[in-house]
Parts: sequence; C-alpha cells; structure tokens
Amino acid sequence: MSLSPPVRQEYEVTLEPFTQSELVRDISLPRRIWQQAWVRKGVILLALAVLWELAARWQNNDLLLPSFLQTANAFIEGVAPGELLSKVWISLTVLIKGYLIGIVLAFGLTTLAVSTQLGRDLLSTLTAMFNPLPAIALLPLSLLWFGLGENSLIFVLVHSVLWALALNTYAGFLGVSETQRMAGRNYGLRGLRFVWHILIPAALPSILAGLKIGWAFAWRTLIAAELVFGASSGKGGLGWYIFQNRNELYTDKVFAGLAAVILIGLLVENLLFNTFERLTIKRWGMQR
Amino acid sequence: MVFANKLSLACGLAAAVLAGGASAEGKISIAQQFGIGYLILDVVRDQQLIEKHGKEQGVDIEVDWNSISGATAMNEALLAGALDVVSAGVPPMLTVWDRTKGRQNVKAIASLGSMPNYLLSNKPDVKTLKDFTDKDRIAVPAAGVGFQSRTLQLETAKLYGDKEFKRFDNISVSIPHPDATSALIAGGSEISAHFSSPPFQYQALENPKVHKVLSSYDILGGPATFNVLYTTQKFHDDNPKTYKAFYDALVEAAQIVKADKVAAAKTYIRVEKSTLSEAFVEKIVKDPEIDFTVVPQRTFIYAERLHELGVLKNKAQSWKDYFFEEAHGGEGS
Repeated sequence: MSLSPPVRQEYEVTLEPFTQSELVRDISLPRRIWQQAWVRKGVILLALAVLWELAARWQNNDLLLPSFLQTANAFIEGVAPGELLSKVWISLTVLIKGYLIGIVLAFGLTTLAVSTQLGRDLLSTLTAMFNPLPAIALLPLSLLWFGLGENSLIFVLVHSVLWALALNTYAGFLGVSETQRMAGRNYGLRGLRFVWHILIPAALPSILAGLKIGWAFAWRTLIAAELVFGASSGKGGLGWYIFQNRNELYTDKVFAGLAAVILIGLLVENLLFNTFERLTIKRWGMQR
Repeated sequence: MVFANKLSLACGLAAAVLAGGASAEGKISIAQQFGIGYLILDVVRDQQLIEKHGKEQGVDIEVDWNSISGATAMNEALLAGALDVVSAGVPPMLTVWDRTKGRQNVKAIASLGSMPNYLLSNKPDVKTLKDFTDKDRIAVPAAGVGFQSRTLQLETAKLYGDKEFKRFDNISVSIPHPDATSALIAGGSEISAHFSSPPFQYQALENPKVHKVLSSYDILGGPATFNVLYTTQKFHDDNPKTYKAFYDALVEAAQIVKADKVAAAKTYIRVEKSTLSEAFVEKIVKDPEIDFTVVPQRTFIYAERLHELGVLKNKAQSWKDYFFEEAHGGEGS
C-alpha cells in the first residue's frame, strides 16, 4: 500500500505596490510639549502642591499641617536673609568632607581586594560586619572618641558611605569581563594602573550606583545626626534648623527645612549625577 | 496622624452619641517630667487627690499618669490630643500659648512651684557670664528653647543688648541633666558649664570643683516659677468638673507639702523610686529658696522680654492672659 502525501496547491501572493510613507510627521503642539520630561514632572509636582494645599485648608490647623503657600513663604523668608542657606552650607561642607574621605577609603579597600587575597577577605569580612550597622547607632561612640563637633559627624558619614560604596565597587570589579582584563594585561598594566585604566571604566555603572547610594545614605545620616544632637546649636546645619524650629513649634519652617533637603537631593541627582552619567557611561554606550 | 485624629474624634463623637450624650467628664491624662520640681504632682498622685476632689464634685475621675521628658514631646502630645495636661518650664509653655493663640488656645493651669536654677561651672576662672569664651560649652537640656536657655538669653540680652541675646546659644549643647551633671563633676570633657536644675545642681555643688556662676533668681530678680501645668481651651471648657477637681487637688497638695516637708520628701522618694538619700531630698524641700506653691511668680518677665526679643509674636497684657481664670485669684505675677 502506498501512501501519497496530500499535494498542496502552489500559489503566488501579489504584493501591493510599495508606497513610501512620509518620514517626517508633525506632532501637535500639546503632544510635543507633553513629550518634554520636565513638563510631565512639573505637572506631577504641581498636582502634589495643589493636593497639599487643599488638604491643609481642609485640616485648617497650620500648627499640624501648614499649607503649601505658607511653607513656600517660610522657605523664602528663610532663604532671603541667608539663614537657611548658611545652614545648608554648614551641612554640605560636613557632608562633602565625609563623602570624599569615604570614597577614598572605599577605593583603597577595593583596590586592595582585587589585587591581593588577604585584601579580598578583609573587605568581605568588614562589609559583612559593618554594612548592616546603622551609622546613626555609632554616633554615641563617635561622640566619645571625637568629642562634640564636626569630627564625630564626619566619622559617622564615612561609615555610612564607605561600606555601601565598597560593596558596589567590588561587585562591579568582579563583573569586568575576562576579555577586557586580558586586553589590559596585554598592555602590561598592573596594580593601580590596571585598576585605573581597565577596572574603573569597565565597572563605572555599578560604581556610580554605589556613589548615588552612598550620597543618599550620607544625607540621611547627617540629617538624623543633627536632629539627635546639633554639634552646638549655633553651628548646626539643616537638621538642627529643623529640630530647633520643631522645638519652637514653627511647623512651616520645619516643612521649609524638609523642602530644602528634598531640593538639594533633586539638584544633586539631576545636575551632578545625570551630567556625569551622560558624559561617561551613556556616551560609552554602557547604559541606556 | 492628622487623619487618625479626625477619625478618633469622629469615633469619640459617635461613642458619645451612642452613650446617650454622656459628657467626656471623668477622665484626665497627665504627663510629668522627672525631678524634684514635680513634687506637687507626686503628692497628688500618691494621695489620689484628684479622685478625692472628683468625688466632691460628683464625678468619678480616672487618672492616667505619664512620664515624658522634654517640653517638645509634651507639646506634641498635647496638640495631637494624646494627653490632656502636660507640664514644662515657663518659656516652653509661653511658646505654645503664642503659637496656638486663636486656635487651640493652650493656657497654663497652675505653677508647680518656684525654685532657682543654677548656672554651674567647673572652671575656676569663670566667675560671671562674661568669662565664657568660645572654647567653653554650656550644657542645657534643650539648647536655645528650654527654660535654662531662655533664662540665659534674658541675661545675655541684659549684658550685651537685645540683638545679641542668642550669643551663648552658639556654645550651648543639648545634654540631659544627669549626663551633664556627671560630665561636669568628672571634668576633662568640653563641658565646662551646666545650666542645671534641682536636684541635680545640689548634687553637683557637693563636689568642691564645681561652683555656682549665676542663679535664675538673680536674673529674674527674686523667686520665680520654674514649671507650670498647661492644657487646651477645649479640655478646660469641656470638663469643668474634672478641671476644678484637678486644680483643687493641686492646691491641696501644695498645702500638704508646706505642712509636712519631711513627709513630702519621703513621698518624692517613694513615687519617683529615687535613689537619692532622704536627708538630701529633705534638705532641698526645706530650702528657703524653694517654694512649692501653685501661684505663678515672675512669669510675666518671660512673656514681656521674650516678646521684645521677638521670640513670642503675641504680646501679653498681664500674666492672666496665659493662665486659665481658675488661677487668677492668687497674687500671681
């Protein structure tokens, strides 16, 4: 018995004639405006402000919840005579000192870790020990060791930056591909030069993530530390400003202080980190 | 938090309606701080005077005692509605009165007694306020805003002019009394001065290295109220009987303390579970500088000067502006 497969009829599909559609299209003006990121973000902010204002008016007790306009007013009143700005300046100088020391130490530790076995064990042990430890919990100790003042704040700041950054940087270094490493070795790069020319550029996305996390941790720690104690009230920064105004029941100024913290966070994220990303990892095609 | 307040208020209202319109009378929650300055409240608590005076008014009063440290926490608890009556120094009370005027209308109920607060130092060359330098650190419970800081500000304004009243805030550090006392006695830290309170100042002065620089009585010109009790207009108006029972209990407690100071000292040690010796507490209670009275003394100096310095926005015409009318009878000031 022979089986014959079913025979399929052959046929031809005639293609429709190709017409070139227009390459450039006009988008209506509203849509074009809507496509700007800052417009969308602005609308979100505006909606939040309106909600806040309405909630505050409904609550009708500016001691508990000052309205948006009152807060804005307190913010301007704080900025105009320079009081708020000088507080921000005090906080920022302390913050940057702690941040920079933390970065230097983190790079030292990770460089050691990628070059020697003992360094690797040292880093993994130390990060496992200290990373879960909240920096603010070290404040009492730090006060004992460094006394009341800037140094004890810098100590807790270094602690908050160091481990997060070291962990991220080390993970980034480990993720650098063998090909790139071998290319570096081919040029005869060793030690610090190898780290600087091969590992750091290749691991930059995770280093940047670590820097961002470290920055956020440092901010939080600083404000919390200043809330707990201001080194001395005259020299306290933004956290102290918030704390003192809470003590004096100036809720609108408390909100103004919080707004300043948020604004600085936005500025640093959008101006500093985004620019740096655009100039490096985005330009090199490492990140979208 | 705000929403929760409204919610609890609504629940409370609903409960009141369900209970057949029973008033909120018969409940009072009181918060006190630590130290001999709260002796009157300790006596009230020990002898259950509020319950006793409540019965005379025909209401059974349920009293809830709390211990909170610091005026800021007190104020927040009061404004959030978590506590009915709170206690703190005169300047923090004036701050709340000023900020809530026309809203919650927080006012003082009564004084808890007049007692001096000493500015102490362990540096032999610091004899007056002018001897302090930038290297010194003055420990206070709440830098810039507490009783001690405000009193220091009044003196600073007197010495250096009104514009300079915050001069010593720059070298003030917020440290609780017990820690500051041990730091001052031990020496060797940055803390070279402490604006203290009873009983801590007497403990510190027992050490020969520590000496008195200034007393709050010198600054204010005589015996002056240290702590006051205060509450909101709403509590005062909604609970006339409970309020009166509370006020009467305070008056009676003050009389009890004055009548038998030895027993009062014992009460203090018992209620506060203090580790101080009985003789020591007795000496403080018997100190002629200290007067356990519910009548406010020299509080108006703060109201007047702090308004002039711009700390308070509202100007009080007399001390009666920020005390509820029950307290107006005595010879307050």
